[in-house]
Amino acid sequence: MLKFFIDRVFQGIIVLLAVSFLAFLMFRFLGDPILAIAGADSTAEQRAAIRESLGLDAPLLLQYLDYLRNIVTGQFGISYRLGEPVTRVILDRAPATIELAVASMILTLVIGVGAGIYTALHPRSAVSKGILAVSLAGISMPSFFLGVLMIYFFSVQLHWLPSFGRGSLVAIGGWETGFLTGSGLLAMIMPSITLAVFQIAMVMRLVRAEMIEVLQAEFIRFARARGLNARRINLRHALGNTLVPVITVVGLQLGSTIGFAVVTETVFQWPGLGLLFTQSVEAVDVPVLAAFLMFIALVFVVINLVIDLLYYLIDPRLRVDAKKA
Amino acid sequence: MKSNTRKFLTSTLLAAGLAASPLLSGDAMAKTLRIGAQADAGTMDPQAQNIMTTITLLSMIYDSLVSRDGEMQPQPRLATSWEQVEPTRWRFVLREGVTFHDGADFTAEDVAFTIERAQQPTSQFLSMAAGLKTEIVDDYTIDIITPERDIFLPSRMISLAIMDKDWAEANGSLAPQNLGEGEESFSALNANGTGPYKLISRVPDSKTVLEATGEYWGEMAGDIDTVEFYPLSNDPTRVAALLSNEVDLLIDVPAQDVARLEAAPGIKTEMVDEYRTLFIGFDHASDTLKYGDAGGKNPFKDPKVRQAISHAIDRQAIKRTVMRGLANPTTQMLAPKNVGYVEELDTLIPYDREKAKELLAEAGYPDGFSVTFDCPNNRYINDEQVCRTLVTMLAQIGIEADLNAMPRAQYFPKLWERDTSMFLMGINSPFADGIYNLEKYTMTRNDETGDGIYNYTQSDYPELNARVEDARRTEDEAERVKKIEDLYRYLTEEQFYVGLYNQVLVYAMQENVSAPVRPDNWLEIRWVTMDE
Repeated sequence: MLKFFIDRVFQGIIVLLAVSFLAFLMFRFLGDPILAIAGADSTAEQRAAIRESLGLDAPLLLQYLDYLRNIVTGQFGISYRLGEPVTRVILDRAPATIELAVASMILTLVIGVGAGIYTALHPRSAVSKGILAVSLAGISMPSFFLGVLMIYFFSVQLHWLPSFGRGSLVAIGGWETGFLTGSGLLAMIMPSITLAVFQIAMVMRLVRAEMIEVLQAEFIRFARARGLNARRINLRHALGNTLVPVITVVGLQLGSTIGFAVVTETVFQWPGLGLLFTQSVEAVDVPVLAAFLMFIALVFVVINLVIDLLYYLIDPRLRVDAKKA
Repeated sequence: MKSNTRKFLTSTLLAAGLAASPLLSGDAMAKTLRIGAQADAGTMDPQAQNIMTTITLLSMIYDSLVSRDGEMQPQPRLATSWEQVEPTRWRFVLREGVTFHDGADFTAEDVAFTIERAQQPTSQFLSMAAGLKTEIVDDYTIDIITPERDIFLPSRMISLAIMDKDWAEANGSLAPQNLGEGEESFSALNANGTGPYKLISRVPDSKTVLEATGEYWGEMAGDIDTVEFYPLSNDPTRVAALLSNEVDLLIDVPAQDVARLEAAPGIKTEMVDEYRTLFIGFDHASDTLKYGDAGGKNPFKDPKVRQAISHAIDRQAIKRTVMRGLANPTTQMLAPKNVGYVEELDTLIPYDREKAKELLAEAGYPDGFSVTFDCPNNRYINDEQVCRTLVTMLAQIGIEADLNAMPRAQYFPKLWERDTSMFLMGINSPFADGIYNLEKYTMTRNDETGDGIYNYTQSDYPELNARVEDARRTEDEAERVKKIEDLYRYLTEEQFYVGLYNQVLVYAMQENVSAPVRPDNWLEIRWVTMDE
C-alpha cells in the first residue's frame, strides 16, 4: 500500500515538473509582458529598466531555474496585471469557480444519473428517445453559444436571471459564498447549466450504456430468478455496479470544470479562475499564469491519486498485483 | 407635476414612519449609474496606467488642474487660471478651500508632489511630466518650469490627477507600484482624491463602487449618488446587460451591435468622431525588404509605391462592410478638429485602381511584389478584419500581402524593435494638435528628446525634421498652424503613411441617461445626468 502510494506521488511530481517546463515555454509565445506593464507609449529606456528589474533580460535557462525555485518555495510573486500577490489573487478567485463546479456537479449527478437510469430501464419509451435526442444536442452545442442563447432568453427577453456576475455574496470566514443569498443562487443558474450540459449528456449516456450492459449480466438474472423486487435489483445491484466507472469520469470532470470553466466564466463574467485565466493571457500576466497552471496540474494530480487509491480499495485485484510487484 | 405629488406623498409617508425598514428610506431616492465596459481599470493609482478606462474611472475620484470642455478646449478644474509668464514658465493659480476625501487641504505642495511622482520610472505619465520643474510661490500659486517653451503645458496637466502628498507619504506610495521589487502598493488599491466620488469598494474584474461625497466643490450636471463600474469582457454579454437593464451605460459598444441597439426600445446611442486615425506604415529605411520579396529592393522607399497602395484601397467599402458605417475615410494622418487639420487632405488620394497599377509600373514593379503585413488582432475596432480586407484590395494591383495578425502583446514589442516592413497603426494626439503626430511619428527617432519615438518606419529625413522643428518653434500661432498644415499636405502627397479612416466612437445607454461622448473617449462623469 505504502509503496503504491509513494510510486503515485513520485509520478505526480514528474507530471508537475513537466507542466512547469511546458508552461514556461508557452509563455514565450504569448508575447511580451512589458506591454501590459509599461504601456504601448512607453519609452525604450523605461522598458529596459522594467525588463531588468523583473529579471526578464536574463538568459532563458536562468529564468526557468528562477521560476522553478519560486514555485518550490511558493513565491509566486506579484501579478503584473493586478499588482497583488498571486497567491491572494488565486485564493480570492477560487471560491467562485469551486461553487460553480459544485453546482454543475450536483446538476450532473442528479439529472445525468437519473436520466441514465430511466433510459436504460425504458429503452423503447418515447420519453427516453426524447431525452436521448436532447442529450445529443447538449453534447454538440458549444457552451459559448448555449450561454449567449440563455442570456438572450432569460435576461434580455424575460428579465428573470442576471446576465453576469455572482449576485450578492455572504462571507463565511475567508470564503465568499453565493449559495446563501437569493441573488447569488439566481446568478448561479445559467452558468452552472452551461457548464453542466455537456457533462449531463455524457454521464447520462455513460450510465445508460453501463446499466444496459449490467442488466444483462448473470448476477442480475440470478437476482431476478431469486424473485427480488425490481426496484431493489435496479437501484442496488445494477446501479451499484454501474457507478464505478461513472465515479472515475465524474471525478476527472470535476478537475476539468475547475480548471477549464474558461468559456463559461468569460461569457457570464463569473469572477473565478477561468476568467482570471483569459484576462491573464491577454495581459501576458506570467506570474498568475504560472501559478494557475501549477494549481490546475496539482488539482489533477491529487484527483488522480485519490481515484487510484479508491480503486485500490474497491478492486482487490489491484492489491494482489501490487503485492506481486 | 405628477411626479412632484408622488414625491411629496412618499416623503410624507416616510415621515409618518411607515417605512420602518432602513432599506426603503435610503434607496428609494438614490440614483445609481451602472457603467459597463470591456475591460477593468487596472489599478486605482492615478499615475500607474495610461489607459483610457483607468483614466476615466479615476477622474471620478481624482481631479486634475485642468480639464476639457465639450469643444475639447482646456478648462479650469483645480487650477482657476494659468498664464505663460515667461517662455518656459507657466503660473497656475489654484482653487482655494478644496479638500481631499480624507479631509486634508489641497495646496500647491500636492501639485509639486504629483508632478514629481509622475516623473518616477514606474509612472506611465512620464511623457506628460518629463523635464518639468516646480516652484511653489505660495499655498495657492505654483510655477511650472518647462525645459523649452511649451504651449501644451496646460493640456499636459489634464492627465495628471492630483494626489495628496501627506496621504501618499503616510501610506508609502511615493511612486507608482514597482512590480520588480515584488512590492504591494497601497495606492493601487485605495484612493484619496478631491473629485466628486470616493472609492467605496473594488473587486478587480467584477465591480467597483463609487459614492458621491456630497461635498464636491465643482458643478455637476446630474445628481448621481452611486457609480457602479462593471467590466464585461464578452461582447454579447455586455450588450445583453444593457438590453436587460442590468447596466445603464455602455462605453465600449461592439461595432456589430450598434444598429441593433439603436433599434432596441428604451435604448439610445451617442456618437462622436473619435480622435483616432488608422493608417498603414512602412519600412522607409531598409535597402531590401526585410519581410517579403521585391527583387532585392525595398519598394516602400518610393513615394509612388505608397501612393499606389493608397489608390488601391476602397475606403468607402471598408467603412460600409467591416466597420458598419462607424468610420470616416481619410488619406491623411490627422483627425478633424485637431489644430492643423485640412479637410481636403481626407480625399487627396482617391480610390482608383488603374492609377494605382500605373504608379506601381512607373516605380518599376509592374508585376507587384510580396510583403508581410503585420496587424494587431485585439487593439483597434475590427482590426484583423480590416487588414484582411486590405490584403484582398492590394492583391488586385498585384501586391501579395501576407497577413501576420497577432495579439497586441506580441504586436507592439515587434514594432518597438522596428522589426516590420508594413504595419497597421492607430494614432491620436493627446493635445488635439497636429504637431504631436509630426514630432512623434515622422521625425527621426531620438530617444533623448522623445522625437520620433513612435516612428516605426525607421525614416531619417533631415529636411522633414528641420521643417517640423521649425513649426514647433514658431511663436506666432497663425504662422505655426500654417506650417503644420503645409507639413500635412506634404506628408499626404508623399503618403508617408497611408491614412485609412477615423474611428467613430459610440456609447449606448438607457433612455433616462444622458452621457455626452468626448472625442478622446474620456467619459466626463460631471456631465452625465440621469432622470428618475
